Amino acid sequence: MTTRPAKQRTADRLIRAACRRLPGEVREERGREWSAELLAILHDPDIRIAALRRARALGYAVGVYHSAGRLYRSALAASPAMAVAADDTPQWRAEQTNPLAIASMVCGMVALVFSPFAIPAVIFGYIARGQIRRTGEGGKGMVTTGLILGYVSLAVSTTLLVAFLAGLI
Amino acid sequence: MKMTGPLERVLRVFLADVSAPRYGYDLMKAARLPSGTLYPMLARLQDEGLVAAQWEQQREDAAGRPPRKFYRLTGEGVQVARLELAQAAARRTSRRPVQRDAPRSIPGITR
Repeated sequence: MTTRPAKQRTADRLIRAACRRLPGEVREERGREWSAELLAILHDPDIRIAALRRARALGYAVGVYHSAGRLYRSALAASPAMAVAADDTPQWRAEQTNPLAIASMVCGMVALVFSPFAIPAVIFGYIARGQIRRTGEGGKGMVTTGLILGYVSLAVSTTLLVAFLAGLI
Repeated sequence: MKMTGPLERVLRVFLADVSAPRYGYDLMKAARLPSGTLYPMLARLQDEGLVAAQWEQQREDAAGRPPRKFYRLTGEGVQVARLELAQAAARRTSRRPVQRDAPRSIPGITR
């Protein structure tokens, strides 16, 4: 277990990110559960090709990350006391910034220099906005920044491209 | 409990062997569900007291692997699952004759 395949590192990271989106009392247990399953997938005797096992593991981690929002609501429903305390935007959540919101903003900034980054900025922006709406994480401002920068950059580069092509003709 | 296709598949897998412990990944494979669908569903079933989760005891052959969490139906879960599956099947059979009769009235269209 000294050299870990790169895909597993990504999967590990995704699982940790998923756990951070969960309330404290279930976070640690879910982390142990998912890590153990991840190892089981990576050692699944039914899948012969190692690359496929890694792909499966990565898919598993992506799904787990995606499910964290719903699990969070489920945990709220299970302990009403926490729901009362947490209300709509629980404090510990608002303190966390949605990672995709950061990614969107960064891509938006890079897009000002290198316009193809406008596309991920817009895509991440919309995904992050949906996640923030569901989970109550922080990062709304970053999403707005990312989306605006992305769209502005798209508009500018499209205009320039059209002008350039028109000038050539 | 609202019956959906994925939920039905999970319940069927559980009922196939009520006493067998089911790990998350095994359930995913058997019910052909992605992890993003399975875990929220299991959490909901757990909240409703239909599914219980336990950590496995460290096995000899585990070769240093961490213990996995397994799920199985509770006594109530078995009853509810059987009932719900039967009801879902009944709904399907009661709907079927209507669907089957409709195309028959139009000649030339075979089903």
